[in-house]
Amino acid sequence: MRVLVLILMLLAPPAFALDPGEMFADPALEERARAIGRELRCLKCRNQSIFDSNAGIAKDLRVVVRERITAGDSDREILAYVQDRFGDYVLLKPPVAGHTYALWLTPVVLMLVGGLAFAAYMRRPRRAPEALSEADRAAAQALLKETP
Amino acid sequence: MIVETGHFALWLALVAALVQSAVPIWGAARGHPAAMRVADSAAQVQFLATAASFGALTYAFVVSDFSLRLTALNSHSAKPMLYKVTGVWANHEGSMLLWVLMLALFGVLISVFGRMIPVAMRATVLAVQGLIGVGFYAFILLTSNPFERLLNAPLDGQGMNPLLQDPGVAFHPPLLYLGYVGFSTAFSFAVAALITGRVDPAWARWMRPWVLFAWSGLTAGIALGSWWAYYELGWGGFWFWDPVENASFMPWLIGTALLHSAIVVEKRNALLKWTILLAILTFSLSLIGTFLVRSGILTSVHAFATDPERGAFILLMLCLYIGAALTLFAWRAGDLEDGGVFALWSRETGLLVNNLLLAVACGVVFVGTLYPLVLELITGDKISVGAPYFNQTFLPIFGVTMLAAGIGPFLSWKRARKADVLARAGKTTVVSLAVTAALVFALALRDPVGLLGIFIAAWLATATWQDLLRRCGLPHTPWTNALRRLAGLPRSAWGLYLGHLGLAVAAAGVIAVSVWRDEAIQTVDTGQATQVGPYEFTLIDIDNTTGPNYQTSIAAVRVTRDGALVAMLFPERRWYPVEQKPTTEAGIRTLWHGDLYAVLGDPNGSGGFVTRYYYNPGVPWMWLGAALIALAALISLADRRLRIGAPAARRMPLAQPAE
Amino acid sequence: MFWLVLAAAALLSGLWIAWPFLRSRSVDLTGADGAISIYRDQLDEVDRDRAAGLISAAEAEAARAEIERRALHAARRLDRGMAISTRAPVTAGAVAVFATAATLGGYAWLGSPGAPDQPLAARQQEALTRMAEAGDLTSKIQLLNQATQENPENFEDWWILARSYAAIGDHASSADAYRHAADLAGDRPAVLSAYAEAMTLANGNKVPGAARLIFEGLARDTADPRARYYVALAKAQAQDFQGAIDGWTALARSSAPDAPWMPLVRRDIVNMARFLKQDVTGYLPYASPAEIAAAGGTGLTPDINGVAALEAQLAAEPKDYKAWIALARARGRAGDMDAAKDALAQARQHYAAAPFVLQKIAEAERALGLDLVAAAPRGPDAEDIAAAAEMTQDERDAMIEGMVAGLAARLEEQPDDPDGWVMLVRSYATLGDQEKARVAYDTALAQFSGDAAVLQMIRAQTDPLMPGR
Repeated sequence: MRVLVLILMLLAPPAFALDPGEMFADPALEERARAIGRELRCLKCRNQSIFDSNAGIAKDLRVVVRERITAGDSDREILAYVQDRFGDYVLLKPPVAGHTYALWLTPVVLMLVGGLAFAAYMRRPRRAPEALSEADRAAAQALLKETP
Repeated sequence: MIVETGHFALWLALVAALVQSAVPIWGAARGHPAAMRVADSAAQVQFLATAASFGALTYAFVVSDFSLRLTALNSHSAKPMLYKVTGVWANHEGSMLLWVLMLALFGVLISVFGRMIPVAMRATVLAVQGLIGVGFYAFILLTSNPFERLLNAPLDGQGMNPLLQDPGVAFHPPLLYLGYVGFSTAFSFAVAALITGRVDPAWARWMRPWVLFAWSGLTAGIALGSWWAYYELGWGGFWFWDPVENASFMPWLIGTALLHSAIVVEKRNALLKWTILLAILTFSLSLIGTFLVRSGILTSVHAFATDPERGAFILLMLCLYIGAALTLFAWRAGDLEDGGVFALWSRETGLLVNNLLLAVACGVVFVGTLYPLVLELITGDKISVGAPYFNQTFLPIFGVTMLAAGIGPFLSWKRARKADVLARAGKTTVVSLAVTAALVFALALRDPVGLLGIFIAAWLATATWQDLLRRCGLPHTPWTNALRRLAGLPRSAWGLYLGHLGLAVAAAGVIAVSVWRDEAIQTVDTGQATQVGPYEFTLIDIDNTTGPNYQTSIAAVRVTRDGALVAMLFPERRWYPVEQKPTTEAGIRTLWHGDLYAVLGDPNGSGGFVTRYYYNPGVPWMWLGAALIALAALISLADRRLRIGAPAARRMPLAQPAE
Repeated sequence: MFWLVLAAAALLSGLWIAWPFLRSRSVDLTGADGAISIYRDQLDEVDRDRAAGLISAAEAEAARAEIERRALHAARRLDRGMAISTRAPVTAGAVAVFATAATLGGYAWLGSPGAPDQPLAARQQEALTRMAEAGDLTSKIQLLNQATQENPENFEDWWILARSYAAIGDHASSADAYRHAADLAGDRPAVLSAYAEAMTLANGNKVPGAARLIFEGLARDTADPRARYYVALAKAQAQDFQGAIDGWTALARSSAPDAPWMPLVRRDIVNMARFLKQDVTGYLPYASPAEIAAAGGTGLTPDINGVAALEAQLAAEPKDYKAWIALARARGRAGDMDAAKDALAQARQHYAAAPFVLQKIAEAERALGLDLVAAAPRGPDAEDIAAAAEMTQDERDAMIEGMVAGLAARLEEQPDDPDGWVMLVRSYATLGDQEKARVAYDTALAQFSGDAAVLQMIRAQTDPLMPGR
């Protein structure tokens, strides 16, 4: 199989993100392959999934994913398999682990901080505005009445 | 000599910016009116000089003067004239020159149209603008000089990335910069407010037109960039959560918050400190965006510069500007008095919640974008943060924001009647649920996430209509009366309704194309048909020909539905020999409900071609929505109360002089 | 002059900036008016909302009171009135002088004063001349083309143009230029002979009828060795082998032994003698032992270095497209087009999946005039892939080797392709050829040693394949 991958690699002119040659005939399998592919990063590209990328390396990875599907692996197993070989970098959705707690907690923490700040702001003691004296009010009305 | 004059003009601009940043501040501190007015004259000279410099560089590109290093590396004599001109900013040095041109333009606009701004404030604002300019002129002249000459000019240039030879991307940077750089005005107003200690409704009113203008430009710039990706990159994607995209999206989010909080300052004299902080943050994020793109810390089609020296310089400027502004904020914000008391159920609270949600959303994008960089710096671990992360974290927050945007206008200033608001929100819920249910039955849509999204978009649209009708007095007043009221609505109200409606339309489009796209990829011979959703695509013919600076294969694809002709698509596959790069030009036909989209791939050697066909529902809505949003900002800008130059000057003795 | 203009511009700009110091006028310092007018607007809005029934009377009254309070506050706090600015010519002068000096100084530091604009339109001629002087034939040809267009009566220009075309291998254009030269030269034999030779070369080294007539005429009337050589060649190509070898022999006899055309003539005599299975010493009394050996060898058309050697080499190692092309050329030169075609066909088989090499082969085919049905370079297709899946192990290995060899060949000529190198290293590694993988790896690193980003990319993708790195 390795050799076949090599053939595919050499044959394909690097031009097209997905080409029909690699696709499954079964639409359900193909749908699965794409769902998994959208979670995987093309290693050379900037935040593109392997299904959106033209690079040869993305194609290799797609072929690997399809191989694993054919071999009967579950989606999780496939992602774990790829992660094993290429590291966390290949996962577009970073794993939840020691070095990414901060990342995953960010939305929660920000929401909390925002909520607390909001509550604090709304509950802060407020001075009622001092009422204007009648004379001041008249002066202000005069000021405001003058129309250009 | 024109080229050298351009270089000279750039130095003149730097010196003008230097004077502009120093003399007026001194004048404002000493109460010296002439020194303050130097801000105006210096801003004018700075703009004219930068424009001359930019003109000289454009000239060099147009006449293909390859004695400039920049043209030799980035242009080619065989390029079409349009791309010779846009090539000026399709590279690092030129784009930085465009950046300062915009900055100088905003400076001179403030000096010309800001006549009603009192001279001390205007002088301080322009001085801060000048200070920003000094940093960027120095950056350009010292690390990225576009006027660097070559001793032996080559016979021809090395061309320009063909991906960038496209009208969409050609005008994407100027609009984006209009936004980025436009936010510098908000920053300058905020810093000037901190320096002079004056923040009041008038201040917000002076600042808001500039923010609206910048925000409109940024909206259009982001949409244009997205549109370009959609039709040029050839797989129908339009947003990738790429750091370069995020860099422009973050200032947009915080700028949106600023736009709304400035209303609170203007109407209610509340949220002063928060608004100043937002103004500083908006431009800081624009600077960070510039840093991310220009330093080469990211590498993609957009990030041209890879010189670490430049990165260090920009980083230093970033720390100086942002650090100084935040320090000033910490030092002076305590002195600002925050007026305007409001209840929990009030328009003010609504806008505050909107601000918090947008800020949190922006915070998530910020952390998601920078986390991998920081993590790699600290631990060396490489991780990716891509679309799945943002979809999971950003989208829920933004969904809530949109729900809040729907009922926000229901709330009245200061104190709203809770029961009233809830009753109206109830109606909104019923209508949006009905719309969603109708879609479920009519189109047999099933995807729950997609339906939730449709519900939210329907909610925002319904609520917006609801409020508009109520403002016109419907259904309690006669039609004629309602129409009269409609015509009498202030432009800012039109801005509100159009903007929110635009957001709802764009969101519906994004959801539709993300969830219900139809796609087919196959090798076909001419004459062969493929079914894509309800449409049948047939490859009719392939024609090989040449363009001005490329060779191309153009396919004719016929699209039919139930046997009736819907459209002919002409996707292309181009080859640019100078740059040795291929590009794809998708064939697109826009229908009211979606796009038919065809891409031509490689020949398979025996007469057949690889083709990708899509039916992308909702895509036109996306662009329409974005256009509505940008237009809404411009309409708001035209409001009488914000109209530049208003209010009419009026001579009158004020009560008692303070001294 | 340039500096004078710059200095004037700088000074003018400096004065413009300093202008406010030169005027006296009064300035409203605080803009209290503007601030008050905002409150007026707010008041209007309250009234509007009240009129529309959006707020209650009590709410409207409260809002009015608050607005009044703020307006009064603003008016009292802000109103500091006007300020008069007086003229300050000294400050103005200082600012203007600073601006002028700083601008000129900065420009003098980094600028290239006096460097002229060089728009391309003004440089075409100069650039071409410069390149032509540096030995660039294309530029020279362009210049000469211009010259001949302007003055088509100049024999010298046409003559040099024709020779330049010949030097870059464009024999068709060369022949065309020679024709003009021949017209102007009034059928001077040397010119006619060169013309006919160019026609022959343009025709894939087959003597066309017109050239043959010219050569025969020249051979009859003059002692032009070229004409005599080509007359003989034309005979060979018309199957008159004996006539050909006799012609060449006559030419060899009448030429000085060290004449520049002698090696060619001798080679052809040797080849022809072997082909006719005749004793070469009968034609070349002083034939060298090597020539005699070559003439006695088997095979169709031995070259100086021996086509046989090429054939043997290719039998052992068929993955050498350059050798195949050389073989085809050698066979073609001897007029055996079928054999040449056969060589190229075999090369094609070995490189079926290497578009770059296929292109090279097609070029060679065109050069030999074999391209009546030239096959365009062809990308792989789904069938290839399907076929690959069904191949036997040997067939598959052969196919892969062909593709890898094609890739290597392409990279040799177009090395600026990081992805290609990565693919090559991986291919060798996958095939288990560590030695070649290492060589490719080192070559790639050396190729991109100047580009850290590319190096990093290559290393990231290939280092895991390199044991001991």
